[in-house]
Amino acid sequence: MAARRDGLVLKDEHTTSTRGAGAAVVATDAILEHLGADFKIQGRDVFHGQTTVILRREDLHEFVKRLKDEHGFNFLVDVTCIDYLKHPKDHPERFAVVLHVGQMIGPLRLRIRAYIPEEDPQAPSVLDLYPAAGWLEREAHEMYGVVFEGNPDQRRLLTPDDYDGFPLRKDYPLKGRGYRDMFPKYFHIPEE
Amino acid sequence: MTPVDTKTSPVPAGRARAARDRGRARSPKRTIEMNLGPQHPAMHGTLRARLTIDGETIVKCDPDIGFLHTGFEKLGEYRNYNQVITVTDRMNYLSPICNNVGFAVAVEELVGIDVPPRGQYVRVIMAELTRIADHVLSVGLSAMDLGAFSVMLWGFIQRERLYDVFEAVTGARLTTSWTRVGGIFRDVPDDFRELVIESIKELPALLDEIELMLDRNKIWLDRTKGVGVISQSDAIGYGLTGPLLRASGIAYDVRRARPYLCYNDLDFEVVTETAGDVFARYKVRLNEMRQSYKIVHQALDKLPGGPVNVESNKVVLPTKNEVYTSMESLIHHFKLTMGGHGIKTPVNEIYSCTESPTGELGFYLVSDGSGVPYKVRIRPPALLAFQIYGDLVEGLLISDSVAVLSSFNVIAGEVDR
Repeated sequence: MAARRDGLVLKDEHTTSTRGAGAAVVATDAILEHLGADFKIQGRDVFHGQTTVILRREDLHEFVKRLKDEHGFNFLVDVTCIDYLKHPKDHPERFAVVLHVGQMIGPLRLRIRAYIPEEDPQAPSVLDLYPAAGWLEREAHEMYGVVFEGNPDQRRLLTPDDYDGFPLRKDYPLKGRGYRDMFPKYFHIPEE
Repeated sequence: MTPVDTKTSPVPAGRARAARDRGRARSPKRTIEMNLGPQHPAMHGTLRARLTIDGETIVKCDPDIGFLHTGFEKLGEYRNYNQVITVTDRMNYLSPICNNVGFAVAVEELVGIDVPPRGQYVRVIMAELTRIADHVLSVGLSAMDLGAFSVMLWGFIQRERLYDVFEAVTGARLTTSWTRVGGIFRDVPDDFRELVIESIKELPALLDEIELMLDRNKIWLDRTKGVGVISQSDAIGYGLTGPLLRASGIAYDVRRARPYLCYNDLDFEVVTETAGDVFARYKVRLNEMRQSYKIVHQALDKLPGGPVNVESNKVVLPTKNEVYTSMESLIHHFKLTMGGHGIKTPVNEIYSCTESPTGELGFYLVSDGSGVPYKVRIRPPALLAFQIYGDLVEGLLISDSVAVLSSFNVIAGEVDR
C-alpha cells in the first residue's frame, strides 16, 4: 500500500490483492517451474496476484493437458481472444488466444496466453479436455476469426449464420458495416 | 385358411401390421424436427432449441442462441469504465445489481483500490437482496412451468417488495446502474435499515410455505426428482457454477472460494445438494435465499458509518456542490468525464469474478491505460449452463425438457450479451 499525494491509496501492483492470496502465487510459481522444464515458457507476468503465462501456440494443448492431469486444473473458466491492433504495448503478433483455467476445489487460477499471427489465425482447441470449451471457442471464432483446430463445430454462435466479418476485431467499426449489405439473401438490392 | 405372407402382401394384417407400425415408430425416418422457441412461453426469453423428436421423446437437441445479441462486449470498448456499468445491468435483467457490483469490483481490482467498509457492506446487502429477488422468481417460474401457478404469484409479491427497495435506493427498478468505480453513486437513504427489514420480513414464512406446497406434492416430485441429472464430473467439465454446480454436490461459491467485498466477515453456509436433478436445484435456491436472508441481517447489524466512496477525486466524481464552489473539483470533474481522460488504469489485464445468482460472473478486462477499456470480456455463467442443456435433454420427454430449462434459470440477455 502506498498513499499518494492526491489521497488515493493504491495497492502496489506487485503485492497481491485481497483476492489472490500470496501463497497462491508461490504455488503457481512452483507448478510453472515444474512444467517449465518441458515447455518453452515465453514469458510470465504477475499482476495483483494473478499469473499470466505466455506460451507458443504449439505447446498450448499439451501444457493445459499436463496442468489438468498433474495439477488438478479441472475447471475451464474462459476462452477468449484479444486483438492487439491498437494496443499501446508491443506484441509479437496481432492476435492472442487467452485461456483461464483453474482448480474447482483449490485456490489456483492461471491465465495462459498464446500469440497467433494474423495471416494464419489458428489455435489448438481444448475441447477434448474440457467440454465447456465448445461454445466458448465458437464465440471466439465468430468474433475474431480465429479457427480452433480440433473443435468440429465452428458455426457462428451469437451472430446469424451468414454474417460477414468478425465484430470484435479492432478494425471492425462499432456501427457495423451496413446491415442490408450484409445479408444479400434477405435484402435484395436492385442494381441501378 | 392360408397365412398372410407379410413380406409380399402390400397390406399386412392384424398383428403383423402392428409390428410394422411399431418398427416404423422406432426407425429414424419417423423422427421429425421441431422448434422449441424462440417465441415459446416456456423458453424463458428468446432461447431456441431445434429438437429432433420421436413421438414425445427428444432424440437430439441443438440449442440455438443469439437472438438477443446486442454486442455488449464491443460497446464496452467504446465507453468509459463508468458508462459500461449501465451496459452490465441490461445483461442479466433479473439481477442487475449483482452485475453492477461485479463490474465495479473488477475495475477496482484493476486500478488497485478498496472501497470503504460502508460501501462494501451496502453493496453486499443490495447484492443479496438481488439474489433473493432472482431466486424467488426462478423458483416461482420453474413451479409455474410445471403447473404450480400460485408459487410464482407468491414469489412476485416478494419480488415487488424488494423492487420497491431498489427503487428507493437506486432510483430505478430494473436498470439500476447503481455502482460506480470506487463506490456507489450516492449513499443509501436514512431509513435504509427499516426499508430492508420490512421488505424481507415475510420471506422466511414464504419459503416455508413454498416448501410446504411443493415438497410433498406428488406431481412436483414426479416431474423433478431424477429428471435432468448432472453428474459431478459433467458439472465441472462443462464449467457450470452457481446453484447448478452446488446441486451436484460441489461446494464452490465465489463468495467463499475467492472472497470479495466484505464476505469474509460474514457468516453463511455454502448450500449444497447431492442429487444434481431439478429438485436439487430448486432446494439449493430455496436454501440459498435463507442464507441470503441471514447475510442481509448480519450486514445490517454490522453496517458501519463513514463514506461509501473512495476519498479520491481521481476515481470518484466530486459532489456537485464542490464542483460549483472549488476549482480543483471542477478540474477533477472534467478530467473524469472528458473523452481521452477518465480513470487512470495500469496497462495490464485482470480477471475478476463475483457470485451472481446464476453463477460465477467474470469480467476479464484488458486496459491500455486510458479511461476506456481496451477489451471487456464477460464470462456469462448462463451461457455455460445452457451449453449442457442440449446433451442433458436427449432421451427425455419434451415436457421434461421444459422442467430442466426452468431449473437452469438461463437469462437470454446474459447468454447472448
